[in-house]
Amino acid sequence: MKTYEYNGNTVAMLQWLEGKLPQDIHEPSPINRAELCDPNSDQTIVIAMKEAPLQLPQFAQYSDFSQGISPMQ
Amino acid sequence: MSDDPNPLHRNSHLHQQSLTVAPLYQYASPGYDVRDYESPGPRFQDAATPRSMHTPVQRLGTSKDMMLGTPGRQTHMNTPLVSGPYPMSNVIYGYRPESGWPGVLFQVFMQGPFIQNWQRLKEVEYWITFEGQEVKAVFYELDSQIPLPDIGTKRFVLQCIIPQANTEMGRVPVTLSVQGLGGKSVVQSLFMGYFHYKPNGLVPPKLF
Repeated sequence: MKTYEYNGNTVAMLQWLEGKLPQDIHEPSPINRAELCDPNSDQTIVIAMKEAPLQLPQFAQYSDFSQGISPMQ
Repeated sequence: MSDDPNPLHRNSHLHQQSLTVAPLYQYASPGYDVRDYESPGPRFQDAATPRSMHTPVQRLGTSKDMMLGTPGRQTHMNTPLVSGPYPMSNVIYGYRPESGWPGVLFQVFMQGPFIQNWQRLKEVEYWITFEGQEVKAVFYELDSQIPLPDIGTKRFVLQCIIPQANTEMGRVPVTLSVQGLGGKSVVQSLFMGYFHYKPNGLVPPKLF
């Protein structure tokens, strides 16, 4: 069976699922024939990369110093 | 008379004679009902007897009961290998695959009048739990040209990706929960059956 790798990125995985129309639905069987692997293709399919930490530009103006520490000391 | 010096045990033999057992369910009307039991009366009560025996509140048929599985129901697309301690919920037509590993696409086919009622709710969410590992599922309503028993041409399908479980290999129970607006529970832990985890052999489990 095909294996989908989403690297813990649940949001992207759900978006991918919303676009993946169910196949082989007419006569449902215990095995989804549309999910069987083609021997000549890769078994693992990456559907989402690891989510990068969010870096908002408006926070770049602040220094790394805590407000309780003066850089003059 | 009994020789037992403990006053709490004095009437215990009378209880054993007069205790009646009510049937578990009565489907005449939904809700709760207090049955008129053949109560032993206050003269037989003592502190050693659980109070629930004297004030029997009996649970009657509710919509939740109708969603629970009926013993011996047809499972259509699934094999007996998935059967567990409870019958498959009446809401579930079947699911697939019956065995696999984390990262595989999992599909649940649903049936019955409850589905369309749930779809009318705002912000309805479907969650599938593989022995404590809960994943959100995406709902699809599709039409087929092939009519099937019980579901006709309608196909209500949930899709999710099988999560990493607490076990790499073995059978785990799979349940369905439905949540409405604000995460309010509509239905919780409807038993589907067992899913058999088996190792893939190719993909390290940490990737999921």
